[in-house]
Amino acid sequence: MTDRAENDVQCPIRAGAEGPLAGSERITVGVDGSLASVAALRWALDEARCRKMRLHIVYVRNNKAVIPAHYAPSRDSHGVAHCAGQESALKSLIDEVLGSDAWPVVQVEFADGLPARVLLDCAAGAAMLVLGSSRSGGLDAAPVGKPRAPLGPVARDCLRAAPCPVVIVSSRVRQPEGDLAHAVWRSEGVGDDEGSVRRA
Amino acid sequence: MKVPSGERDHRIVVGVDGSVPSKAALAWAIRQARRTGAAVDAVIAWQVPLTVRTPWPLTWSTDFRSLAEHVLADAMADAAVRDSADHVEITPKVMEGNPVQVLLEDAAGADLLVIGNRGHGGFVEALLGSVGQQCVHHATCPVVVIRGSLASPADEPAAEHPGHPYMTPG
Repeated sequence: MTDRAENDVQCPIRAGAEGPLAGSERITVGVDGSLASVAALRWALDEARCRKMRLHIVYVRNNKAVIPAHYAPSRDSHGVAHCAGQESALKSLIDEVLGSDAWPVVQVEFADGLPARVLLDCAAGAAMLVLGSSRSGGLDAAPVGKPRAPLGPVARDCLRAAPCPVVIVSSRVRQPEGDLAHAVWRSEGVGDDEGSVRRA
Repeated sequence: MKVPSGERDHRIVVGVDGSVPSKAALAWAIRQARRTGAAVDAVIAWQVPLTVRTPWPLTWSTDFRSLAEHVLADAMADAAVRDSADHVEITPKVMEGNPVQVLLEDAAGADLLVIGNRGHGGFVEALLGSVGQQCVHHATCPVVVIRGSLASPADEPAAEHPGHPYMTPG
C-alpha cells in the first residue's frame, strides 16, 4: 500500500502561459538524484517542450524500506532531516536543470512508497514514463564472471507493468558538461549521512 | 521531411522484426519523428541460422534476406495504413548480423532507439526480450520500450487499457 495521497507535496514550480496544468497530457519522469536520472530529466524536459506537454517529476522517498527495530531510537530526528536534506537538494537540482524558461508546466511530487509502484501509479495516463538507468553497459560495467542485470529493480518492474511507453536514459547519454557534480549523491552511496548534494 | 544525408543528426532508429510490439514501436517512432522532424531508420536484422559454418549455403531454397525485406515492408505498410507516414522520411534497412549489434551500430549517434518489449521468442510474460535487454544495457542513446498491447493509433494509453496487475517485491 502506498500512502502517497496523504504525503504528497505537490508544488507546481511554475505555470505556463496557457494556464497551469493545461490539458491532461503529461510526461512522467522519475528522479532519484543519480546522474542517470538527471539525464532522464533533461531528456524528458526537452520532450515536454517539444510535445507541449506538462512534466511530472516524481521522487519516491521509500523511507519505509528499512523498518527500524523496536528498540532503535526514533528515526524521526535523523530520518526527517535526511529526507529534508535530500528533498531540498533535489529541488535545487531540478531548478537547475529546468533553467529559467517559463514552460513547460512542471509539477514536482515527493511521494512515499515502493518506488516502482508509485512510479507506475504516476505513469497511468501519462504519454510516457522516463527513467534513468545507472547500470551503463560497456566492457567496464561488470567484472568478468559477474554479469549484472541490465536494469535496476525499479526500472525492471516499471518496464514489466507500465501502461505507457517507457524511456530508459542511460547515464552515458551525452549531456552538457558543467553540472555533473551536482547530481551524484545517490551514485556515490546512499548511506551519505548528510544527504546533501556534493558540490564541486 | 527530407534531411540531407550528410547531416542526419536527428534519427530515430526502430528495430522491426514483424512482431506486434515491433509494429507498435514502428508506429510510435513515426509519430515521434513527425513531432521532432527526425528521420526514421526502420532496421531489421537477419542471420543465416548456422550451426556449422560451411562455405556453401545450408539451404538452397531459402533467401533470408528477401524474407527479412518482406517482413520489413509488411510492417511498414502496416504502419502506413494505421497512421499516415507523410512528411516522415523512413529508411528501411535490411542488415545482416546479430540484431543487437546491428541496432546498436545504427543507433550510435541517433536521437532514440525504439524497440518493442519483446519479439517472437521467449516467454510471454518476459518483461523484455533478449534483444531489448542488451539494447537497454549498451545503447548510448535513450531507449524507448513499447509494449505490444499499446497498438492504438493514439499516443495516449487507451483509457480502457486493462490495468495489468503488477507485483513489486516487498
